[in-house]
Amino acid sequence: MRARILTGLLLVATACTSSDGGVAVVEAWARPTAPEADVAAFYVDIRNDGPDEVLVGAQSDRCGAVALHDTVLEDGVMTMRHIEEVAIDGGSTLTMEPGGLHIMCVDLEESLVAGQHVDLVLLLGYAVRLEIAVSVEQR
Amino acid sequence: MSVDVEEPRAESQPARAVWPWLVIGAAVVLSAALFLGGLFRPHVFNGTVIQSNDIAPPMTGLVYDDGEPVDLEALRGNVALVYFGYTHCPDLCPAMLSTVSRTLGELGEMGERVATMMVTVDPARDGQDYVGEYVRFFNPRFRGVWGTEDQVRLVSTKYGVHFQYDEPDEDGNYPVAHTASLMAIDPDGVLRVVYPVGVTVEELTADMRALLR
Repeated sequence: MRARILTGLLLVATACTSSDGGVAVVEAWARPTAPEADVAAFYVDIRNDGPDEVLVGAQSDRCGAVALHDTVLEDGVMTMRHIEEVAIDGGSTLTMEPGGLHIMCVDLEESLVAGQHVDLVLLLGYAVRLEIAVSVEQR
Repeated sequence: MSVDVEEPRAESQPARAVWPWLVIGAAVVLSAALFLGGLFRPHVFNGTVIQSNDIAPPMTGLVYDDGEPVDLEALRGNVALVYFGYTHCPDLCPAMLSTVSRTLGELGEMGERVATMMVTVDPARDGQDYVGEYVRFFNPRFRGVWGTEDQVRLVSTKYGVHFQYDEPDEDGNYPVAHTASLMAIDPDGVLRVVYPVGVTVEELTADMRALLR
């Protein structure tokens, strides 16, 4: 019985962790989405105090697909560019923000509502899965 | 042989009594000058100020989400904030609409004199009703604006706004590349300030106060 509780606690601890080795999530947020809106953006700031890492993608059950995107000014128009990977060198912080780098969620199943926490898995390399919770906030 | 000469001290006494008053007087005049100078100093806008006094291009052919034709002349005496965007927009459009919504909150009653509209640059996917529903999620006072792609393009070009549809994915979803600036039309109907992506609530609030003064 005690062993089962301990295992349970360990599982919870593993699921909640937002830090892996030298990598820690500083902030993770998303705006609430309009009714029927099928896209959303997640903004995650990642601090890396360990060896160099590469963010290669993300996954969420709330989205049909998730991709790294950068919003850039090109020929006078703001264009979203798909990004294959983003380096997070040791000793640096990766910052995402509106109008710049973001994690785009397409085919959003249900609206994001303020106060919710969305489970998101960050893929650091293809081997490391960092499970985080994205806070849905009106900003 | 020496003669004692009395210094004419009596004359220097009144001068010594007057100089503090001169200093205070000068300080008062200087403060008043600085205060008045501050009052008349022009507000420095937080976007690109359009120097001409041309009336903003009319929204020919475009309608609000409820079907009413968009008549910018009807908005004289108010500031009109115009944004060209689309509803399948994950990043920039929600960011700008949230910023404007919070600005209206900061402005309180004065915010009632700011008319905000988003013209869809993706009318094929954004229904006329839905563009309204979408923007009202951000603020119930916002209005959606719709027209055919040709009509929207004719108007947007005059505002210096361009848009193009990127390659669709396997599901037919496509992002729209667009000029994502926010335009402010002043109470005289003049296109006055163009705001870049990233303008803050504080900056926009200060500018709206200046435009509505």
